[in-house]
Amino acid sequence: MKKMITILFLLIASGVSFAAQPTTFEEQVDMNPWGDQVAVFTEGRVKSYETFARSFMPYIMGSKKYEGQSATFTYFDMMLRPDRYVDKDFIYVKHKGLRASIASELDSLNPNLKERLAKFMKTGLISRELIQSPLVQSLLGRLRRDNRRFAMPIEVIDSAIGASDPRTLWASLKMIPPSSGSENDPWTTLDTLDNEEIVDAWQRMVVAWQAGDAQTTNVELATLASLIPALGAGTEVYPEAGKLKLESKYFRLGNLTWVWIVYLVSVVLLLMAFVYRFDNVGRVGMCVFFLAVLLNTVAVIWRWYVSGRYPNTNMFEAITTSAWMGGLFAVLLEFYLRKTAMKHLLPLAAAITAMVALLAVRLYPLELNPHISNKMPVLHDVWLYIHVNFIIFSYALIFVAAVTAFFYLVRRGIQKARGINGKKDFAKAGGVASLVEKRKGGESALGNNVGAVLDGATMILVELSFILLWAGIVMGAIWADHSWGRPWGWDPKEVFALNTFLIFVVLIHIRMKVKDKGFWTAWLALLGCAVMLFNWIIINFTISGLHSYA
Amino acid sequence: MSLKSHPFFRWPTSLLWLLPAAALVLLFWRSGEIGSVWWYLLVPTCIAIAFIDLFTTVWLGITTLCTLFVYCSVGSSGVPVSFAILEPQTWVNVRESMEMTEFEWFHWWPFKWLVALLCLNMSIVTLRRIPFNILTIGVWSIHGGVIVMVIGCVVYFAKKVEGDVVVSRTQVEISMPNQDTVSMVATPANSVWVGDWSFTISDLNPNWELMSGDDAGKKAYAVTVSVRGPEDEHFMRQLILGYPEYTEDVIATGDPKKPMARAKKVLGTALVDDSINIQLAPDAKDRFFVTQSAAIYMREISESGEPISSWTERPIENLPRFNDYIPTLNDVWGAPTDVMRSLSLNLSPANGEDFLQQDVVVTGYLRYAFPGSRIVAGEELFPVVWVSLRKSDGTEQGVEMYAFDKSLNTADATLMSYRWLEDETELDVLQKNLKPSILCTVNNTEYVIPITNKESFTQIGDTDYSYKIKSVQNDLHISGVVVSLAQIEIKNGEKQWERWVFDNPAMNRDVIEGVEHEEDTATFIDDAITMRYSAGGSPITVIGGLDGGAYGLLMGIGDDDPQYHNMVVGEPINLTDEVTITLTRAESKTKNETRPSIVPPSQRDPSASNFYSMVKLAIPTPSGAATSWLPFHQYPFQSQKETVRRFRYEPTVMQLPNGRMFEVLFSRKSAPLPVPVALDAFEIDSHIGGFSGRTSSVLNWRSLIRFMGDEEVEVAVSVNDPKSYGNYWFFQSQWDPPDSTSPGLNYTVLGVGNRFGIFPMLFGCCLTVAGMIWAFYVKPMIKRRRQLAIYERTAA
Repeated sequence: MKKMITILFLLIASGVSFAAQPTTFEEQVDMNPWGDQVAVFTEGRVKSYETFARSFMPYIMGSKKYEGQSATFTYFDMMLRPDRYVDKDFIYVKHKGLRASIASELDSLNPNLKERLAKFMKTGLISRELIQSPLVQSLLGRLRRDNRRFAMPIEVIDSAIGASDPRTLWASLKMIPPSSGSENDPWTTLDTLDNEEIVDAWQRMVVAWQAGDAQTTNVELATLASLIPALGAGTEVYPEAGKLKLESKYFRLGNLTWVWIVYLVSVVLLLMAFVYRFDNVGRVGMCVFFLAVLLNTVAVIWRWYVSGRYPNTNMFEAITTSAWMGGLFAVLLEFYLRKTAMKHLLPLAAAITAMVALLAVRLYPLELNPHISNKMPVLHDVWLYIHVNFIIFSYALIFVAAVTAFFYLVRRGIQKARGINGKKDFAKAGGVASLVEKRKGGESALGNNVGAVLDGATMILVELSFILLWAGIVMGAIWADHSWGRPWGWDPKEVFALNTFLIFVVLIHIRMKVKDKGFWTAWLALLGCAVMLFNWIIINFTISGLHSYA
Repeated sequence: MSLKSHPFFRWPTSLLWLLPAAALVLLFWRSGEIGSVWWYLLVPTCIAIAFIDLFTTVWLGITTLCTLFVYCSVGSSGVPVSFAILEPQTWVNVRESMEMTEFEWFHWWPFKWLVALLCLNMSIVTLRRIPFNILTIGVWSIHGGVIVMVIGCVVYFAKKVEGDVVVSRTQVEISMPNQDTVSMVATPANSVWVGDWSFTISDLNPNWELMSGDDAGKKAYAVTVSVRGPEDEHFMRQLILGYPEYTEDVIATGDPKKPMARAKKVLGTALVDDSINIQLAPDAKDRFFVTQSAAIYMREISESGEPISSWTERPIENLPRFNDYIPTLNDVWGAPTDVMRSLSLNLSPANGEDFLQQDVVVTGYLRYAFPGSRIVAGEELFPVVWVSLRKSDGTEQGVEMYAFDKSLNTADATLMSYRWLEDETELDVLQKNLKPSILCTVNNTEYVIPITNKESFTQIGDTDYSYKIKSVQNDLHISGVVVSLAQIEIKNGEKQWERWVFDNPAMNRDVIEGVEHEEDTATFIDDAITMRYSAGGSPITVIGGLDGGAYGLLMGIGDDDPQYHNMVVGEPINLTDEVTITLTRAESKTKNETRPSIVPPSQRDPSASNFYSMVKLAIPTPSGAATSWLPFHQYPFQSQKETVRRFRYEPTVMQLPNGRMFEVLFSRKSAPLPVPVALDAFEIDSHIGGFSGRTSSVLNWRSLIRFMGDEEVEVAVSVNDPKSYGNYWFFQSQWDPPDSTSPGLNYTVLGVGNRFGIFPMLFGCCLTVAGMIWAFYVKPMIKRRRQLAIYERTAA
């Protein structure tokens, strides 16, 4: 038996080691030293090559990978072995209507392309040659006239084709720091360098790459990865090695957006704990939630460090920072609420909020671009940090409130199915008041009724988000006044922030007047969240305005 | 709460308040003040008190808030017409269909009434139903704050004026003896004439590095003016902004190694001609142009086009912005047949001194159009054909060809053309001469020798002569005449020479070394051989003017003889195995007509706003109206020499039946600045890597401007850092980015706006926030303390 086990173990071990052994050139090339140590200048920023390649390749192939290759490898390969990509499907067409038009045009010309076109419709990837065929070019020329629907997507395709040109790839690889060491002087490509050691190593690497000699390629890449950063030694213009490595690592770890899974685990546990009052499960759930918030905090600080600025200047940063704020808020409040009937509820709702947010940025990397870029000039102002943080914190709380409101409505639905009237299940004192105020005997005004607890939690969140949202709008007006010359311009983003606030104003006043307070509060909290999401999604992506960058 | 008890504030006696309300309506109506601030303060107040019980209910406030929500949503995002809410076309913009800007929609009377209603409801509810005590301070503060903020908003929006002004780095002023001083703005290729001298800006360098003196190494704005005199005098004068002492001329040296040199080095003086005085002066602007406004600018001109009056401005009130208003379908290309809207906006003379003391009328508006020329039926013979070329891969190209003016063709006339025959017998001649050839005569015998690219000599018939084609050049413009030329090498025994053979044989020449050709007499080495070159026609020639209105096609592709085919509209003819040609339309009597061409909505650039809009202006006279469509100008520059690059200056000339002529511009309303503003410098802060010319490399833009009042004030205006002067604030708005024609940074665009009522607005907002904090957080603490005290007392 032992022998059998030993043989089985050896078989498995050999199988594993066999499977793990890189066999192709793509797998054998080690881009890590180069990706971590060499800095590339692009659009007014200096990034690690790893980050640069990851932000450049989506211009060509969206969020897809070419045959499973890493972006860092594909960039070099496309530049050094362009023949390998002839008639290969790697240009990404995002617009589905455009995909259908192109596929239909090509299908009518060449029925043999059916299978390939079916794949194109699914993945959005098509070859440069097919896109550049006269028929498709003629089609795109016609569609381009439709400015509202097709002009921009077609421009993106043109950019993708241009970006995939080896000359563009070479020209974009500005990795030589200015010899002056001045931040105001431009970075250049290897063309301008007269350092023979580097040029020779580069040429040897290119020859080896083109010959598919992974061993020599790795040696030369490692050599270059140590020689090129040395050009910036002694100047402040070249980023520190540690920072470059951390930047690469941050992107290699997927911007830590996978933390949504940790949030998911905490959601499952906390839901069980809240519904069934399993204290032990609750404790584990809280530990997992703390871990998730901790990881989220690490992600925010990590990004803050590598980008050199607080992360709130684009949609990706606004959403992830907002999720983190919601999580952090729940952790702090849970400390206060841990001995009340509301325990586990806010972490649960915040975990759902953060999970949805991180999933969104993970699933839509093109729309919610995670890459770090410079702020536009108008954003260089202290009010960016004040106004935007107030607003995104309020948005996080609005979503958390919507989750608790949703739970309340589910409970009411269950009660209704059971023939129970839940109209009286609401927080009698209101939000924070229900925690603060006391009833006879020193009891908390909140009580233990789950409906009241859910309604009370919703109100706590609504009250705080009400103030934050209003203060955020006012601060935005102050910023707009000295930036655009007027505090209020009826821009769609401004109007819908006001609309979100109006919903909460209605909520607070309706709550005073109706008998079924919990029910109306919950529905209006959900409506407020819907208007907030409308402002963040539809207004940003569909209806243009002055705030389209955030 | 006296309001509660007094009969005047109790139903139904309160209805008496409708009497003053009616009186006020009558008063405002008679005085034409309906819609004024007082109207919204007094009339709704009387109505509210008349229905005081209704206005004491919270439900009225909730209903008003919900209505406001709907109103704001409809005016901002529009209304979705399908479930595809992520598609822009799903959102129908109700506001724009009603010709309202965002500003107008949110200042329309329904919005004002809703806000007035809300404020009254809030005030009455607060006064009648919320006792003023420590617990309710929050609510009082919130409601009071909102009302103060609304008052601030009323003041702000009632007085709001905003716009922008473009200010250049400098003006170039030129003065010469016995001539008026002339100036032009420093913008690439701008030019003026002073007397017989021309002055053209040949170079602008925003970062010229000073090379001499104490200022060596400093950077300044340099302007180079190319000066040309009546007797071909030419030099360049370089002027550096802020350093007039470094002004100097650069002249041609005649030395190919160093063609230009500083005048000081060549002539010993910095300036070639001291009497030509060129200097840089501030481009001071004293007016700005109001956002989302419209105006017509007019001036009278003489028959020769010289202005005989200054520009006058006639503001256009209530001009539509979003929809087309077309007086007649024949006015434009691409007019929708289902929508015809008329417009009639009278514009009165600017003042009593206006050179045209009569109204002009705006009768049409187009949101997005440009002048387009099309061929329409005419009365004179001007044949045009439209053909389509289709390749086997499905690609298709349309071509438009003109028989009498090949320059209008949309295809290369050497490949494809249209010939209109006077007589059908011309067809034979054309067919024979379709391919280029040379008619050679030796001893009275004619030989047609083909144009080939053979390297060796070919014998001409059975003669002793042989030839070789050196080159062929068609359609050469020589001394104002269009000719075609074949350069031929001819050989006869040992003798070999080159002859230039033209399609006009009178121009033929032999190339003889050392012999200058005379104008009238040609020199020939051997006049026993004469030649005439025929350039032939296009290899694809569409033929018109045939009997019965038929059309044909002559094809001379490849070495085959030209083939003739009948052409019928819609029927393709094979040009090659891969390409077909189809006659799609043919007209013989036509004319070229220019009208505004409406761009279909789907093809419009959403960010273009009304940049491509046009208005139709009519100047009515007893003997008929002069009308014209005018394109929109972002700024109504005074003249071409005042026009900054990237902006249009295309005044339209209109002539009345009595012969008076005007230049007319459609632009925006102007408003006076508190003092003239000039731009001293324009600076850019860049990100790492320096300024690359792209916006992404820019960290900040900074305009160093000077307010030229009694006391000059210099300030730096940059993004997020506006400056004020008088009642206006000045903001960094746009800049002049570099491009292939200029390194840019030649001008700045400053946003200009006033901001009355800001502090009440801010105070109201702060009051509101404080009230919220009190109501949600302080009040429960007070209540808790009271409750605990009561419970303790009870327990005791």
